[in-house]
Amino acid sequence: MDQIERRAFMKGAGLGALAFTVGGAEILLTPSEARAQGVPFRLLNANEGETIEALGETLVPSARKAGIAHFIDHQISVPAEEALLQARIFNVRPPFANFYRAAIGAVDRGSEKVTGRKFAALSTTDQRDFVNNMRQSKIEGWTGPSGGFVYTILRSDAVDVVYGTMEGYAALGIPYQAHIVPTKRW
Amino acid sequence: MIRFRNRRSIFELFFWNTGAAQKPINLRGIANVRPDLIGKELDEFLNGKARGLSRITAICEALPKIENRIELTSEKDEFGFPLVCINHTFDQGAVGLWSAALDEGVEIAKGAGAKEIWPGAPQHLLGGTIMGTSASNSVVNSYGQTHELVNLYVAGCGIFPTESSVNPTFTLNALRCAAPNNSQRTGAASQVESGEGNRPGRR
Repeated sequence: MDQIERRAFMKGAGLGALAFTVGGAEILLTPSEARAQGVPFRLLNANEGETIEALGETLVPSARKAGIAHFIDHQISVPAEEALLQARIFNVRPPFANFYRAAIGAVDRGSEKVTGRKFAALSTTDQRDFVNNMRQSKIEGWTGPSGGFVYTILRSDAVDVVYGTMEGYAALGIPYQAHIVPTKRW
Repeated sequence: MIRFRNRRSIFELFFWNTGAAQKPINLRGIANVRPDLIGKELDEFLNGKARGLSRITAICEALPKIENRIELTSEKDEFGFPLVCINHTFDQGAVGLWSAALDEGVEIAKGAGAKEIWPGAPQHLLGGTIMGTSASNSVVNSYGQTHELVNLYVAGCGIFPTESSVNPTFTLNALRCAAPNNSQRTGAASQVESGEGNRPGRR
């Protein structure tokens, strides 16, 4: 990340916006805006994005629309020391893309073993049952990072995207008291 | 407020930390008060409880256990260095102290008029590269200098033999300052490894 992009990223992080590439130019967008504008993923492929969105929506309502896949895709593409992911707090070893790819693969393989279909193709009820079993590490034949750990990390990401915004705080009726107050709402 | 579980002992203390600001997000955020909830239930929980929720935390002391240790494993990282395995259990005294603190916390919460109470889980282990008198009982000396490598210093929470009844931030800072001073005094080149929280140091 060069200095200009770094400055844009740091400024954007304060506003909740991130630097996305649109038409060859870096612009600041929220993950939700990036999703709505169909900004291409940097590292994830379409299937991986679909699985993350389905997982996020199962964990926290509105996570898909809030842009959880674009948020994670962006954050795994920046230097690990600048990422806002909870994976850092949980001592996941960078590069974080490796963890997310392993987690997505484990979820889809587990889902196919149990139901014959990938996670995103399951009904809402089946997705919920699968995630509850994953939390308790009860998916038969599960391979990859532990189900409970995948649950914790993805749930934290979904909570971040939906509730970790000024609008998210306002919706809950609690004051947004940042150490450094953003210059405008987003 | 500092409480003594056993008034005959200077150990087995715990400390109440109350009134901390809470966000909906992050490790100790409101959403993680009930980490089992997802979907509609999580949304309802956050909307229903976020404005009336408070957290009280008991910081409990534990005494050192020689069986708690970090070992090298046969698994290697991408640089070919062996990974470590953390072996840790709480002794009966620490578990008893935690249970007593939990009971008292529930009593306090009920006394304050709480309608629902959710006990949390223990966090923040210290240790791993502990301070002591020789390589037979520890990893570093009183300056954080490793017994076996004179030019290697450790200045993180790993040098505490166990968790105390208060966060050791200021003591940790003092020790962090002592390490380079001693390095200069002895003339040894030093590599200071610093850290905080629950990250045991690596040898």
